[in-house]
This record gives sequence, C-alpha cells and structure tokens, in this order.
Amino acid sequence: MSEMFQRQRIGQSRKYLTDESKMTGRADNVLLPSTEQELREILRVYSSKGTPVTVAAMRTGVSGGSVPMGGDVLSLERMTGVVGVGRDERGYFLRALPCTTLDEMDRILRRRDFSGLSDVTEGAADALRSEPGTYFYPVDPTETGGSIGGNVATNASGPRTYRYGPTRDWVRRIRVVLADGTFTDVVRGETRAEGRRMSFSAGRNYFSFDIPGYDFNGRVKNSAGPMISEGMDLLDLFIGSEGIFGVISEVDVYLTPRRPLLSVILFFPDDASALEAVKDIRSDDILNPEFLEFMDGRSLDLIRSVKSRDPLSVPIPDLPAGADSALFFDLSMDDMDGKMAKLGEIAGRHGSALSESWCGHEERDQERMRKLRHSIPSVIFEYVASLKGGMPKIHKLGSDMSVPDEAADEMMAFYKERLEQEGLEYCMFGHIGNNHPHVEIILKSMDEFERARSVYEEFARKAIELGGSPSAEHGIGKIKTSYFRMLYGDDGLSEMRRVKAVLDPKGILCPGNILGD
Amino acid sequence: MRFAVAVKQVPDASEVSVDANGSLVRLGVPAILDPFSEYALRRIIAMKEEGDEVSVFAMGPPQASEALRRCLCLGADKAFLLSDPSFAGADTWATARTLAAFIGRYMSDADLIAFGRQAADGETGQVPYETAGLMSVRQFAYVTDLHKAADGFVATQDYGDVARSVKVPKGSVVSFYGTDPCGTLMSLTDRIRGYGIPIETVDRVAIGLGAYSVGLKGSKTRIVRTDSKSMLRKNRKVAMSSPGRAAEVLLEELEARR
Repeated sequence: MSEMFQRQRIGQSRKYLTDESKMTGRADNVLLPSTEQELREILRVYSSKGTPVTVAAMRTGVSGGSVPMGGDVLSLERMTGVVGVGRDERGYFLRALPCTTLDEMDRILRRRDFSGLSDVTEGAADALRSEPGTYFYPVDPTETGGSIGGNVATNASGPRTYRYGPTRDWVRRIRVVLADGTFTDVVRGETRAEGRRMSFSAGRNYFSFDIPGYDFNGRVKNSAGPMISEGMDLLDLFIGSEGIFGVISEVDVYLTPRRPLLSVILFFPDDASALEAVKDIRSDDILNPEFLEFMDGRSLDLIRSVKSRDPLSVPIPDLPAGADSALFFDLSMDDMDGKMAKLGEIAGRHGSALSESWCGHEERDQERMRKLRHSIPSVIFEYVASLKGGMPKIHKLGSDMSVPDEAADEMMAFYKERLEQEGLEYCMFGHIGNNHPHVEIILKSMDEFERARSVYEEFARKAIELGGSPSAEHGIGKIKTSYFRMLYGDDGLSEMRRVKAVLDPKGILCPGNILGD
Repeated sequence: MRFAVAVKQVPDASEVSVDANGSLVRLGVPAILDPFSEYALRRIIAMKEEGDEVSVFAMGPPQASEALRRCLCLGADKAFLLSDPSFAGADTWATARTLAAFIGRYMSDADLIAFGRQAADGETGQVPYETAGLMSVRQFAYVTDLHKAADGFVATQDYGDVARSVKVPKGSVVSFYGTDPCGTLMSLTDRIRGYGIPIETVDRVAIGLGAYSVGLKGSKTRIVRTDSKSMLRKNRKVAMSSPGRAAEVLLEELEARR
C-alpha cells in the first residue's frame, strides 16, 4: 500500500541537513506533510518502524536543533498559514500552523487582513479589525523569517524579552502530535502537575510520570529546556522541549496593541561608559524601554570595515567618528519631554550627549537601526560559512549566557579577561538589558575553534555559578548539550530521559536534541 | 541666503503591495517624507551656512505635516503646509500652479527653489519644470551637485551619458537627481529642535488663487481609468562571449522574422 504522505530522497541537497548553526548532519529522506493527518500518519508509521525523525521548519535555529543525526527529516514547511483569530479573557490571539513565519503573522496584523480566517471565538476577527490601532505579537527573536512552531519549540527570545518576556509567556494553546501519531490540545491552565507528578491523556493513551526534580531558573532569561517546576503547566513541558516530546501542529499566541515607538541609538566614547549607562537606563522608571541592546566598539569597527568595502552592504548612514560603543533601545512616545530630559542626564553622566545619537519613529528609520544591530551576527555568520570549505567541522560559536543583574559586572569582566588571555579576536553585542550579550569570536583556524569551545565552556560554568543560564535564548539543540548536563547534572539529565521514554518510548523524535546521544 | 524646498508626503513604497485585483493596498501603509524630497532637502541643508534660512513647503492633507516635521528635524528652519479641501485631486499642472502661487506670496525673495527629481508615488517628474515655467524663472534638472558661487550657484547636471557644470542664477528652480540608499538618521537633539518649531498652514485664499485654479477643478488632465501592467518583459536576452557570434544570432533572428 502506498504511503499517505510525501517522502523525497535528500541526495546531495544540503538544504535539509543544516541550519543557521552551519552544523551539518545526515539523513536519507525528507518527509513533507501538508496536513495534520499526514503528520500523524508519518509519526504512526515511523514509530512502528522505530525510525528517527528530526523536525524542521524554517531552519533558522543556531544550535543545530533541526540538523538531523540520521533517520529522516520531518519538514513542516507545507504546514503554514494563519488559520484563525480568537479572543479570551486575556485578549486577542492568532491561531497559526507551525511553519507560519513571524513575518507572515505581522503582515496580516498590520494590514488587518483577516479574510479567510476562522473565528476561533465568535466575532473575534471583526472585533480585532475594528480596534482603533493594530496589534502585534511582541516576541521579537530577531529572525522574523523563523516559524512560530520553531519559536515555541525552542521558547525563543530576543531583544523584546526585556519587556515582554519569552515566547512561553505568549502561548495560549498548542496542539501536539505525539510520537505514536496521537495528538492532544494543551491549553494553558488546564493541566498541571500534582507536585512533581504529571498526568494527561492523548487519544486513547494515558500518560502519568514524574517530572525532573530540578527547578528551572526563571530569574534570568533562560531557554535551557522546558520550564520544569513543581505544579508546572503541561504546556511548559512542550514549550522549549525542542521536539523531543512531540511535534507542534498548531499554535495559539496572544497579541498586544502596537504602540508608537521612538527607536534610539546612543553612542558612547567607550564600552565601559555604555555599560554604566545601562544600569541608569534599566533602573529608571520614566524611560522604561521596550528593549536594551549593546554594540561594543569592536562590533562598530566590524560594520565600519564592511561598509568601507561596500557602503550598501549595511544600508545605514556612516557611523559617527567618535562612536566606540552604542546602546540601542525603543521608547514609547508618551511623555517625550520627560524622557528626553532623563536621557540627556544619563548621556551626560557617561560621556555621551543627545547630539551623539540616532533616532527615528518611522518604520524605515527603525529598520535601518535594526539593520545595524542585526548585521553584526549576519556578517559573522557569513564569515564562518565562508570557512567551511577549508574547515568543514567549523561552525559558528557565540555565547548565549545570561546572569542576574547583580552578577553582570563580574560576568562581563570574566568574558574580557579570558578572551584577552587566549588572544582571541571577538566582538560583543546583544541583549544587555537582560545581562545577555552575545560574545562572538572571529575564528581564523581550527586551533582557535577548539580553544574558543573550551573558553565557552568556562563561560557557561561561570554563568551557572553566578546564578545564570548557559543558554538564554538559542535553546540547547545539539551544540549545547554539554551545557544542559552542566546545568542540571547527571541526575537532571536522567530524569529528563525518563520523561522522554514515557512520551517517546522508541526515541524517534529529534534524537540528539537537549539530551545528547 | 534663503532657500525654499518643495517636499511631498508619499506612501512608503517598501510597504505597498498590490491585491488580487491589481489595486494598491494602502491600509496600514505608513506615509513618509518622499525619499526624493528628503534627498533634495539634505543637499540644501549641507550647503547651509550661518545666517542662511531653509524653508520647506508641502501641499497635502493635515497629516502631511508629519513630513514637514521630519524636515524640521533634519535641519529646516520654517515649514508651511499648503492645505485646503479645494487642493484635492490636483494634477501636476494644478499642483505647480498652487506651488508657484505660494512661492510668489511667501518666498518671492528665495535665492533658490529646490525639488526632488520626482515623487515616489506619482513619478511624473513634471512639477519642478511647470513651477519654474509658471514663475518665469530658469530651471535646472538632474542636479547631482550644487554649491554657492559669487553671484548665485554652480550646479553639476548629470544626464547619464553626459554631465556638465552650469551657472545657476539666483531665484532659479533646481531638481536634485536621486535618493540616498543609506537614508538619514537624525539625532535626538535635532528631533527636539524640530518638534519645537511651529508649522504654518496656508490655504487657497492665502495664496490668492480661485477655486477653479486649484485641485481637480484646476487640473488639465483627468484620470479616466487605471490599469495594472505586467512588468514581465517579453524580449529575450542573448548573452554571447563573442561579438561576431552575437551578430550572427541577431541576423538569424531578424531573417526568421522577415
């Protein structure tokens, strides 16, 4: 009997064997379900055969979560589109298929183009269309071409986590197809663990198991696996589980009203001044920015260097001559007089001035400023990809550690000290509001690559020691499994494996993710 | 010196799309200062010296004041919004007539009147020429560079195949070629300054024109129908490494069609 789903040989096509981590895997076929029924059929067949599948969507992850380590790739790329609008006591939400990109969701919301969408709750689409302003999904994990399913599976975060929290805080409901092809709808608040005993049913199956004994660190920005805690919500077991417990086939995410914002980049004479200004901005009640991003002097020099070769490679005006560090943030446009006065004070205190800045509230201005910030990792990604020819085992290495506010100075000093001791060229940029900068090493050889890996292990250990997370927003994937073990120990890892054995007894789902080999 | 810069508010082209019927989707599309206008203003601001004054003016609905506000933040000193219900529906002629009348009343002593090459939404590029014609002053198009000289200005005009340097007498109209692909980002200081300057609204009566001289009534053209044209070219591109072989292919093609 022919199969009721599409399967293609991968052959020489590398597309399904890699993601933005630039790690390369191996797989025989790609499976391309168009509907949830096909997805369930695939898992039923593969579960009975015990053949592993690695779930992939837009492959924008940077930790290798969608890179296959054998078996087949289960690509959800045909399960795409916003399908409904609803409203409950918290507010409006969108219902989307797993491979819907954040860009697509935003396009629909900006244009209020709800034609063809179903009303998940009666009259929701008309009510949302009639609102005086537009709404948006506020989690901004930088890569807007990423899929909502992937974002939920990794509990993606980004700059706006500073104000809005991670993906988890915005998920209302998911539909999960389990390894044997059965499915369940998981709605926040409906199923909770009793102490550390989680029980739920899916189809004719009834699952009851002990959740791990550790507590997820929610004090800092953290995407190191699911948010395990006593009495936890079942939804939080799947969010951030990177496909090892089930495949997300539908997602409801909440929306919030879009506010007019002024984007600002404030330039500083050095990194130390910018980092001191972070503390003032963060503790100020008037400014209350949407996000707070850092670009160190080396990052700005990298952009200057790229622009000097091709001015349009980063389509922004030339950076001011004396700018050797920068903070990037969005302010809501109420009480602008008060905000400008406060910002002037803070800038003056730390060697900057309001004249040493860029700002804009128009979308094109804001896009240029985002381009500056986002072009830093892009330039490094492209550079690492260019090395793959001569050094196939090399992949991007960037730190993803967050620490509590009180440990920020110590962590920053540690980064600098170790990188300088090792003589590694680096730049530092990112989510300083959450004490979560990315430290990216500009690799030049396999020797540097190996040394950098070892230094990153030290960073991870230090972050954990300071009460932080070794994986704040990129998930664990396959690249950071040793960090997961470092964070929760062998016991934590064994306990997670026991949960996996209950939900996916043959271990077919996303082998290698989070739990390692 | 006094500079007058004509600007326009347009829909942000990067956000505009076309629906299944070929109509522009405008809902949710932000209005911005036309990139051609912004480029012209930036070139004038770059020439500005102590004592100079740059005024900007735009014809449009009340919300067009947002575009003027941006001009003030970018360094303009005064802003005028030409806004009147009777201005609606103006073609290039009626627009030029309105602008010329405004300049005559409010900017008659301007040393230079600057435009962008065209507006990103209309792309006719006729208004600068028509305004100069109605004002009976000289007009210089495709200006890529302009600087002050003893008795006026010197402009570089670049027509693509030929460029020339030319003297521009005071009181002339110039239209700047191009836009800035890297854009403009103002500082917070510029923004605070720009938001502190009032924008003066000017209506039809203030510029002394009759109702039949402006807007749709004063227009010489009527839009009867709009069509959506496919941008797909039907011609074929043949790449050849040898000119001789390319000539042979062309000859064969022409022979086949004869």
